[in-house]
Amino acid sequence: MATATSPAGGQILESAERLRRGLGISFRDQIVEAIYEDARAIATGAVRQARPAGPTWDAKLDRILTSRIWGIPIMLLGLAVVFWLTIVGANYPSQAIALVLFRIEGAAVALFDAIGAPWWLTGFLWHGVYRGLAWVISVMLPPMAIFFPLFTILENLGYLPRAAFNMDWLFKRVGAHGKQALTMSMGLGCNAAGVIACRVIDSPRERLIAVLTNNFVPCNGRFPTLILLGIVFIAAAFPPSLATFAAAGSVVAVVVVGVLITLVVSWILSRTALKGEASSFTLELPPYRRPNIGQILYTSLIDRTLFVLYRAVIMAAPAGGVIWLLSNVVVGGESLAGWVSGFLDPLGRSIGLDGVILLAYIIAIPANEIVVPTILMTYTGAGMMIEIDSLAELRALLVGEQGWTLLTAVCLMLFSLLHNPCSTTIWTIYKETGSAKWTTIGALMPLATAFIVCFAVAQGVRLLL
Amino acid sequence: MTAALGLFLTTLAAALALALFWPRRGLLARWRQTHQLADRVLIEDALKHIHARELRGTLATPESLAGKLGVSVRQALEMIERMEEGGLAHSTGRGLRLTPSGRKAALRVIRAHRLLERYLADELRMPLEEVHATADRREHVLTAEEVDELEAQLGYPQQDPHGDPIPTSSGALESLEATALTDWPVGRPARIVHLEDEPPEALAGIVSAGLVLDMQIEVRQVGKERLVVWDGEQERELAPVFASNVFVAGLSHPVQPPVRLSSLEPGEAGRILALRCEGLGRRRLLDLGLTPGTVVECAFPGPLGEPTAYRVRGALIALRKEQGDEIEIEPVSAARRE
Repeated sequence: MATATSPAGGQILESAERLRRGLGISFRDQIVEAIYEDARAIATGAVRQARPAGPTWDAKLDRILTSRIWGIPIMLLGLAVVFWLTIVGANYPSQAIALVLFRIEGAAVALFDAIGAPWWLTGFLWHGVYRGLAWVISVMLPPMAIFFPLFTILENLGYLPRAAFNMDWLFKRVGAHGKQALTMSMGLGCNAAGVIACRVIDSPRERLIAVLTNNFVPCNGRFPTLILLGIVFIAAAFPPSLATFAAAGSVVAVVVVGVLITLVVSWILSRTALKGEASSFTLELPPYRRPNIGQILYTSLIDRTLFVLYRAVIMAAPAGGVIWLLSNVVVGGESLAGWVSGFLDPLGRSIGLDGVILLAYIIAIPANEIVVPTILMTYTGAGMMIEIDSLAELRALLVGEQGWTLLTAVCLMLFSLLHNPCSTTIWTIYKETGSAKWTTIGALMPLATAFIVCFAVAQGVRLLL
Repeated sequence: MTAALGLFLTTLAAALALALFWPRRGLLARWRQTHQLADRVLIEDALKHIHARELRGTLATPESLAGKLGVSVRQALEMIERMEEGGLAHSTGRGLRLTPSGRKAALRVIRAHRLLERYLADELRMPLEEVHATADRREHVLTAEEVDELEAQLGYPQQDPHGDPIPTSSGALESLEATALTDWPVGRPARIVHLEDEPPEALAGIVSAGLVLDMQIEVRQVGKERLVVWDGEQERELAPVFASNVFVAGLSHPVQPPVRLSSLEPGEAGRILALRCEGLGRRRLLDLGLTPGTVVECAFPGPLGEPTAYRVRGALIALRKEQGDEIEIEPVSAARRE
């Protein structure tokens, strides 16, 4: 603050104060008004605008995309199409990348053997660290490289704000912000990206709700688990002609459950820890635009895909090492993985799972992509993460040898949907909120939800049957 | 052996003494700080009370001070003695009066209090009846610099959320010209300029009756048990004891029912007269070009009925019903649109 030392300075401050009193309370409005008036004058002088005869294209599109009847079905259909393209489109490149990366692993192992490196060094570096890395890249990169550009196209078209507009009524009821619909769809690609996207919500309370609940929409990394379970357990109960639809339907059902849980948890949060009135909601619906290809590729590939992949890779490499150690360090005739999963088994059984699955989820905190390979590795006693291509073989292992039931599959799907966010997302929550407290809540609240829901389902079903 | 024990005991004693007497961090210093703060809070609250009584024209007495602060009359007398020693107040035949430096100190606390209320109501969106109690606790711990900074950040507001003028940093306080609603003649249009924030229970009663600052009203009926006012749309009732905490000023035109943006049907348009919100919400609306004088057209509602999209200066802006309610407009016929 300026202090008046000279008499003149004091006089100036005094008259400034007097003038301020005389301004009245609306002088701020008048300043903004004057700015807008200037802008309007400049615009009318410089821009010639043709008056369209009928309703414009934008108005016609809005009438359909936000209509009472078609608005929400179109939105759901759009989401389903994006899903389908991502799952189907990612399949082939994933296999191709895996083939190349695992061939490199084979060559490197052969080289290490040739120069006489100790088996544990080869195993740790190549079957552990490198294999974890290769697995995450091959499973994660293709879906993200498809999902994020598709998402960015919708964003560029101007459709996403309309989706938020359509959904806001629901979010208002639970004390959240309509733009949470956007951050949730973003979370389908990657929860870390979804958490970053919460920046678009400008009121702090609603933003925090969106950050804390983003984990309840399953990301790409969790899709493989859901799809696998859908195919092996749910689709098997249907005639072969309907099997693929049943599998896809079960995945969609899991997403819907996730959305419901998001709404419920948002409602609870806005009545407990984040109590408060819904603050100002304003949402601009920009004109529809032709997507800009260069911009789409840049924002989706550089900003989103590579950024997320970079973080995941940093986390996955050490996890690969840990997995290898767990399955190859043998104490008292049993591997560490065996010991830990044996210890976790009672807890796992109580929520409809088993110790091996819980162990896989602990190891997979850095990246959910490696859950299934880790489970298979521990079941078969292989020294490294593996994949089983044949469905019959997989069924024989899970159902025949390990005694999985439909209940195990449902509980695993729910656990996969609700459990704690991956370490990349936890780190992102910390970066975005800057608070250790909210990060802890963001990590533990979903975990608690997962345990409670799975316990209730498992015990409830066992009681009834 | 004894030497070692002696050394140990000396070290222990020294450590204990340090923990006790360490300047500013020691237990003794901590205890003194809390004590001094509690003491300062009492004195500052006393000054506020004397100031409020001076404004009302009925001077504070030791008894009123004791009642207000919840202390015994003897403690109140001790406090008055201390204030007189410090040159903050002096006793007269009719009661207590502030000295110029006492008034300055009182205004400093009132300034902190009202700016805090503004902050709590606008930025944190705390309910109106809760801001007073919170501001009462926080007003004593802010330094003068922090208060100045808060004022600048809030954009130099001139009134607190109850309509009380905020003193300036140089200690100038505008006087409020207002009449209690109980003394206002029946049938004369008025505008609510001030809601008394003490006691909070009365304010809660006023708020739940639906009366807000800046509302245009007219007293319809005065009875022993209730007072009926008309706000242009509906009648609202409140007990006279609450009404005496509502202050109004004259209005040059008859009470008009406000028309809100949220009442527009698709295709209808209106010109913005005023925004009835403060803080973050107001800034957002202004930033989007919803300034007074702007013509806004209702475009279409959302598929679930809410929010509604409005056309503002060529852009499409969606607002929830609450935001639409905060924008007062005059209807404009479609033909007269720019």
